[in-house]
Formats: sequence, structure tokens, C-alpha cells
Amino acid sequence: MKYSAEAYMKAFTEALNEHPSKKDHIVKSFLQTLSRNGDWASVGKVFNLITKKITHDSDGLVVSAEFARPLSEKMISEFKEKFSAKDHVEIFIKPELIAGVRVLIDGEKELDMTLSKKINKLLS
Amino acid sequence: MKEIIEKLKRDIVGFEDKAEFADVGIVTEVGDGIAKISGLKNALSQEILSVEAASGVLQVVAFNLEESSIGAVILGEAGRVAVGYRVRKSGKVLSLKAGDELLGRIIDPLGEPLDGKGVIFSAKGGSAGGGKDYPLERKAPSVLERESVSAPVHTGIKSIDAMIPIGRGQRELIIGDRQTGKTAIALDAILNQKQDAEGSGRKQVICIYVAVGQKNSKIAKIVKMLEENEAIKYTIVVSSSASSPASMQFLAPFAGCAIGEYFMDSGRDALVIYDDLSKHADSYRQLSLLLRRPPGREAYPGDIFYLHARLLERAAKLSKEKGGGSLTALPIIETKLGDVSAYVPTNVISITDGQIYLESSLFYQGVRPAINAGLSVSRVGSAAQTKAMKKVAGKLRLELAQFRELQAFVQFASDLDENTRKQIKRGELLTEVLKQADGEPAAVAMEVASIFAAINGFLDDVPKKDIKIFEKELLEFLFKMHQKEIVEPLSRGEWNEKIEEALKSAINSFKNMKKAN
Repeated sequence: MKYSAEAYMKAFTEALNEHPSKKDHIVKSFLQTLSRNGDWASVGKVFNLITKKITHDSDGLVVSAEFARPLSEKMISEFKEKFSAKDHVEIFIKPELIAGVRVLIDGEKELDMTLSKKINKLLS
Repeated sequence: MKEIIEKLKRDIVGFEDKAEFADVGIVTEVGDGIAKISGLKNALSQEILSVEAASGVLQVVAFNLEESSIGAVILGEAGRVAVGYRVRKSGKVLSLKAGDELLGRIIDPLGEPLDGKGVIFSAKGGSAGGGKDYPLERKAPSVLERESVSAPVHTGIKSIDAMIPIGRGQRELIIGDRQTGKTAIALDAILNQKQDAEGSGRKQVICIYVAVGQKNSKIAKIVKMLEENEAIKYTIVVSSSASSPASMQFLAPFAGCAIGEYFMDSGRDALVIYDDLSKHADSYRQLSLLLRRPPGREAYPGDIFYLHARLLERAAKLSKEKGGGSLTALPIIETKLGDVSAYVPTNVISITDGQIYLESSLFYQGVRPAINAGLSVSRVGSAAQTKAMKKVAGKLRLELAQFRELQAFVQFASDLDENTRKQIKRGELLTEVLKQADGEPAAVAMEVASIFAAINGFLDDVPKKDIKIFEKELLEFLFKMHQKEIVEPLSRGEWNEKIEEALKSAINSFKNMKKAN
């Protein structure tokens, strides 16, 4: 990796703040820069950092919720309503959790209410 | 079967699981045995973290605590860790279970057995109650907790015990090029501990041999030798071979030290051999570069000195209030082409209380152990030397120093004056007496008797080629005929005029007996 993911994130968010009117141009150029520098493999990591930064700047939280089974649209919207509009909520489906939900806040705090965790705890 | 069902029932009925927020980290990068983890802002340096891998929980150690991530070293199979896995704190620093049950066992740096002899600590526990947790990294004993070295660790090697004595609690470096007999000296020291404890009144020294980056075949050979000589009973081998991950090689000396501390804390004497710290420094360099720490001289990280200093500083002789135990360290350093001024050798020389310097040229001349008496030194060991050894060894150093000065003239010996010729002859004789095959450590009484005979001119009329046989027969004679009045007091380190006279007359009567035959 030519530059660290943190460096890309800082450069992108600062450029966006300094030139809000050129948003489309900045996004396009940023992706080209990543590709040109051979850092395309880290694009996911960079995007996560950008999401976290933008959400935090607006006093929100990055929420990642993992469910064992797919949810209906209604359930998804009900779940998202539990959080503020400033929060960034992402929903993933992970069948290996067997049942229940696992919520991760800002990549640091976790509320694990899955069956797989309970089974692991019982057997450990 | 009924018991198992009852236990399961108890587990199920008593199971409680409250849903609450917990600190968690996520693996963001992994490769070469290193994992980068985001989150876990409250993790401690050297804390064990548990990675919830698909195939079970895996341990990693937090090494680099950075602003937004943690650089951790994976213990075990690095291939099992993948990006996205959850990581949790354990609140514990890296430690292993230490106890008397470890004696005679071969373990890895995490305390897991490698010898196929089953679990080390059973749930019921042995004498140590199932072992005691000892952290791999621990603060060295303070000044107040220590006292000066006072008892010797006899290696069974005449030149070391006489000229470079090692005390219990001392750190003595063994340094030399490859294939000069560094490991052989350390192993002789282990083998000698059994006979040194018998009848001398000195406490048995527990030995810990730490193999860092050694070939598995070499480790197997060493273990076999220890078993054949019944030395394995009081020895523990911590093995981290060349095929082990760098993290294991890095941890091995600290594991050996932690085990040694267990014995030291229980008032016993332990000897730990780090074979070798050059490879240990290399493994630490590898880890540091992978963790992207800035490289310094010879690409070693800036804290390479501190790494070895904090390891060797843990060797100590504890005060009586602390139990009076000791931990003696014999670190080994391999030099390249005799260059002792390289980075790691100079560091370790400055930390230790002296060094035994082995020279390739002496080795190829047949002087084995190939100890360079001029460059070798022991800074504190003479205080621990027994009275008997002190008496005979004082003159030995001087005679050998004079011989070294005259050595260049050996080939012109016929043109030299009588005195110089005598000095050269005496020097050659002493060199011959100090030669010893590896794996044959001599009891301290025998060492004293040999050196006494050589220093006092009793061997002057013995041809150089016959010295070894003469010495062997003399020692056998003393052992069989003068056990009570010479061998036993010398074993205890005693020396007085009576013993000296008895020794002189015994040597004379042996010589007369030889002449008569």
C-alpha cells in the first residue's frame, strides 16, 4: 500500500470540506487516485474510515447489525428507526449466527444476542 | 456416564447469559504472523487478546498500541486468522504455568508439552498444586531484594571454574563463532550439576535449556544426551526450533526465565541457558519490521538493547528475606568471523557480568574447550569461588598470561634462555591439563587436584603426550585411596595446610608407584 487508509480518508474528507461544490469531481478523482497508486485493494477499508469520519463529524454513530436470517423491508425500517437520523446503520445477514442479532457500534462496542454465542459460551 | 450427564445438567441449569455491551476489536489486516486490529482502545501492552476464528478461539499478543489500531503477534497457526474476525480482551498478560512438574519435560514457550509424555499439570495437581502462573515479562528484582553472589556454579570445565568462575545469580556470556563449542560448555555445566551437588553441601541447581532457532535434530541430540546422563531429571528444555514462528522464538527466552524465576522464588538455585540470543535478536527484528517499527542499526529496532537487558536483569541472587534463591543466566551469542564488536554482541557483553570467549583458531589447534583466557573474564564470580579453587587458580592465571606473552617464541625455543624455556614448557603443560573432551565434566575436587599438580611442578617430568593418561590415573588413585582426607574436603571447597600436605604426599606416592611399575 503506497499510502495508509487513514491518509486517504483525511485527504478525501478535507478536500470535500474545502470544496463542497465539487463533490462529484472529488469522488471521481479520488477513485482514480486510488487506482493509479495501486491501492485499489484497500478501497473497502478506506470507505469504512470515510463513513466513520463523516458520521462522527455529524455526531452520529456507525452501527453494523448482523442478523441470522433475512429481514422484511418493514422490519429493516423499524430497526433503523430505533437510531437517530445522524447514525449510519448497515444491516448484514450472517447465517452462521444461527439465530438472533449482533450489533456493533463504531467498531468498538458490541451487543451480542445470538444463539451461536450462547452455544459457544455453554460449551467453553 | 452418569457423572457426565449430571455435570452437563448442572452447566445447563446454571447457565446465565446477560445481553450487555462488550469491548470488541476487528481484525483489519493479517499476514506474516501479524494481525492489525481496530478497536479495543483499552488494551494493555503485551496483553493476550482472543481472536474468535471460525475454527475456534486463537490467542494473539498486543505489541504495538497505536492511535487507531493494535499491532498483534499471532501465537499459533497464523493461517487461521482472517480479516473481519472479532477480537476480545482477556485482561491477562502472557504467562505460563510453572511448577516442579516441568522437570524432565520438553515444552514450547507457551508451556505446552512437546515430548509426548502427556499433560504436565493435572487438575488434581502435584507438589506445586497444579502449577503457578508466571508472567513471561516481569520486573527484575530490585536492589534491596538482591545480595552479592556467594556460591559457585561449577561447570566441570577446569579452565572456567579456575579462571572464569561463575557465581549463582551471575550472568555470564558464552560468545564465539559457529562450531567453537559454545553449546558444549553450556551442556557440560548442566551435566556437572548432579555430581556437584552430591556430597558437597551445595544445593542442586535446576537447569533450564532454552533452544532458540536451533535445528530440531540438534535439540533431539541434546535431549538424548541429557537423558543418557540422567541430567534430564533436573532439567527443563524450552524448545522453539528454527521452524517455529518468529513469535515463538521471541518468547522462548522469556518463558525459560519465567520458569527459572519460579525455582528462584521458591528458594532454590536455577541455571538458565539461552541458546542463542543472536537468533533471538533476529526473531525480534523480524517481528519489529513486520509491525513496521522503524529500523535502526543493522535493521534491528531501537529497543534491542532493552530487550536483552530486561531479560538478563532478571537473573539474580535473592536476599535471605526473599528466600535466598538464585537464577544464573548463561546467554550464548554467535559471532561472525570473530567480530565481537558487532551490534548485538557488544550489547550483550555490556549487560552481562563477564564473558567466556571461544576462538576458532584455538579450536582447530586442538585446544578444547577453545577458551581464550585473555579475553574471557568474570566480573563477580571470584567472590563465589571456593577456598580450594581460589588457592590453586590464582597462580594459574598468571602462569598462562606469561606463557601467552612468550608463545610467539615457541618455535625458537632452542635459542632461548633456561628460564624462558621453563616458562614455555609450563605453559604448554598447563594448556594440556586444561584440555577437556565435551560431555566429561570434572568434579570440583578433581579439578583442584589436577591444577594443583600442574602448578606445583608435579607434572614437569611427564611427557606432554602422556599428560592426559597420567592425570586420569592420578585422579583415579586419589578417588580410590584418599577419599576421606582429600577428595571429600576438596568437594566441599575446604583448603588448609593439612589438605595441601596430604595432596602433595599422595601425588608423590602415586609417582613413586608409577616409577616402580
